[in-house]
Formats: sequence, structure tokens, C-alpha cells
Amino acid sequence: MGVDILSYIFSFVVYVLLQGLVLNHINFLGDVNPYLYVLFILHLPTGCNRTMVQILAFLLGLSIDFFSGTIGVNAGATLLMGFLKPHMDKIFSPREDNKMIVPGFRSYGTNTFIQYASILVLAHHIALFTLSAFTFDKLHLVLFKGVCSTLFTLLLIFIIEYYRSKRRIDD
Amino acid sequence: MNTLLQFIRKFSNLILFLLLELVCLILVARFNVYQGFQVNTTCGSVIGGMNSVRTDVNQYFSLTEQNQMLAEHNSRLQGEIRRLESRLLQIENDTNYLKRKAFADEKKYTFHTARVVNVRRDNFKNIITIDKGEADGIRQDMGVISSNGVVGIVSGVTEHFSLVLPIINIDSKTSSIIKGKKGTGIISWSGGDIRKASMEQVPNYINVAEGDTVETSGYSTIFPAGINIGRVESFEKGNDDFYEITVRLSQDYSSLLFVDVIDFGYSAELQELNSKIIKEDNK
Repeated sequence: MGVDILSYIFSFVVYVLLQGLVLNHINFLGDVNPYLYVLFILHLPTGCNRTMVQILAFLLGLSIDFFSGTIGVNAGATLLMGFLKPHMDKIFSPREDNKMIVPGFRSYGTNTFIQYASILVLAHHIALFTLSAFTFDKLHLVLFKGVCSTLFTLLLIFIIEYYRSKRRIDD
Repeated sequence: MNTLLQFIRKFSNLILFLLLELVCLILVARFNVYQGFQVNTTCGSVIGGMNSVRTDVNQYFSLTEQNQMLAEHNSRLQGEIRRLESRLLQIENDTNYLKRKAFADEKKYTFHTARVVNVRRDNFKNIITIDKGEADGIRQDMGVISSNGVVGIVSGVTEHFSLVLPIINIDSKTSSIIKGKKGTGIISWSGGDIRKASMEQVPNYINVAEGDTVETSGYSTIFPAGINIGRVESFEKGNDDFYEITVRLSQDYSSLLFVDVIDFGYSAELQELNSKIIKEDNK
């Protein structure tokens, strides 16, 4: 367990740096960016303390905000995701007992994980763009940009998951 | 009291979520882009330093492109010099012209070249950070251009960095004119495609055509007249007496590396004059 916490702290830092220094500047087709750092929240084990998930989500979002100078935007969106995640775990998790498992293609099954990730990532991205615009006037643009970025993020997540699941089998 | 405690315990996660979300909303509302920018580019701060390093690394990868651009810019300027030289030859006999020209030069605009450190382009409030600040003579409300045309307006200055509000920010408004047609209007961006902006308040008795050049009007001290903004892509007559014009921007925000900040020497004086007029009006 001690090693686990260390590896989570390590991945937290890696996600923040990767997002802040690389992914925020991809600007695919003009202005579509992936927000891969949400994978940190998706990978938190099921049955994890809900308060802790929310606080971690808030801190993760705030760290990203410090990089992009958008104080509160990523924090608010990631917090929403942290709030929803345990509920989604309840719906999609294959096990009834409270044993901790890390959500992924292997543990959840490919289809279930795709549904689970899509719902959470879409919720995060729509919240992110709504907070970023900070108005409901531009709803159509918020939805359009949100969906474009969601597809990009999900593509990256699924590629990473694919290699993770393969690696686990090889072990 | 006991039931209240039980209630809090039962809904502790929901309460925590709502509280933190409220904090976020307050942060978003309170920290506008400029304060956010100060948080992330304050000199010596870790993140500001890392962003600079990232830009340095990126610039290495685009050295060829940059050379190409500078060479093009150079040749354009060479051409300009030749054109001006020949024009000067033509009019050298007109001493009055030279006198007027000297006067104009005196109050003319000076330029500070700056490097683009960061372009935040992932949402509605796009922001550009450049590596010149107060110490280099940059002040609030100076115009920023590149060899492609207008970039934006300086809207936040720290010691060594400045923040530029580009045309592609939903808060940006730039006074503009359709070249040769006297049709003035306001350029603004609606939040969609970053290659297009809309031009409003152009009266519809003016004969607009697709492909017309849109440039700065020179009615403010921010930009001199005649700096390229873009071309009319499409237009239609709106409900009122104004056109709704879509402009294809000449500025390519995805390859912006160097910009020029325009320093209009007399802007303080002119502002003082304007504020006097406003005071007179208020009396």
C-alpha cells in the first residue's frame, strides 16, 4: 500500500507536468486540446474514501490551473468529476464487495470501461468549457468544443489503456 | 442538534463538494485572466521559468521556419526601402513636404520587438504572453502587431512580461475600416473558429465586396491607420442598418513567434485631452 501511495503521488506530478507543458499546447486543428490529466482520477481505486477523491480532484485541477493561469476553471471541473466518480464506480464496477480495484480495460471489461470513462470525461469537459466561458450564452460552442476535446482525450486514454492491459497480461 | 449533526454526517461529501465548487466559482469570478497571468508568469516563479524553458525548446524545433519568416520579412522591408527611396527622390524638391515629414516623424510611433512566450489557445479567453514588460517601456493599452498584421492590445504588464489580449478573445474589440471604402466598424470574435472574426457596425449603404481588405482605422492611439487585419470573407445585410460581415483574419496565431509592440509617444497627452472632454461633458 505504501508503494501504491508513492506511485500515485508520482503519477500526479507527471500528469500535471505533461498537461501543463505539453498537452495544453497541442492545439490540434486550431484549438482542440486533450485533457489527459483526468486519467489520474479515472485510475483512483474503487472504494477509495470519497472525501479524499474529491480533495485530490480539487488539488489536481488547481495545479493545472496554476500552469494555464485559469484559476478555478480546471479545479471546478475536476472536482465535479471527483464527486461523480464514486457513483459511477457503484454503477459500473463488476464487483459487489468493497475490494479496491483500479478501473481499466482488464478490471472493468473493455465496453464497461469505455462507458465509464466517456461519461466522466464528457462531464468534466463540459464543466471545464462552461467555467471557461463563464456564461451560458455560448452554449452551442461550449458543447461543440467540449465534445471535440472529449473525443481527443478519450482516444488518448483508450490508447494508454490498451497498452496497459496488454502489459499486464505479459507479466 | 443531534439530527443536524447526523444530517451533516450523512451528506458530508455532498456538502464538501458544494463548498469546494463554490470556492472554484468565486475563484473563476475573482481571478480574471490578468491576475491568473500574474500568478503564472511572476518572474522567478517555478512555473514561469518552466514555461520559458518550454518556449526555448520549441523555438529550437522551429528554427528553420523562423529563419524563413525572418528572411521573408527582410525582403519585404528591403522592397519597402527601395519604394520609399524612389518616392523620396520624386519629392525631394518639395521642401515643405520634408518639413512636414520631419514633424510627423517626431511624434511617430516607435516599436519594441518582443518574443511570444506563451499562447493560451484552448478556450474563449485566448491570451498571449510576451517577454517584454514595464522595464522595457511597455505600458497598458499599447497595440501589438506582427508582420502578418494586428495581433492584439497589451492589457496587463509586469516587470518583464506583458499580457496581450488578441483579436481572438471574446472580450476584444478593435476599431477597423474597410480599405478604400470609408466603412468603419468594430472587429470582435465570437468564440468559434480562430481564423475568423466578425465586423460589426458597418453601415449598409457602403458597397462591400468579398475579398475587400480590412485594416485598422487609426481612430485610436493604439494602432496607426492601415495595419492589416484580414479580408472580407462573406457579408449579409442585418436587421438594422448595418452589415454582418465575416472577416478572415490575416494573423496566423498558430505560428506567432515575434511581435512588435507599438509605442505612440503622445498617447498620455492625448488621453489627458480626452479625459478633459469627458469631464466637460459631465458638467
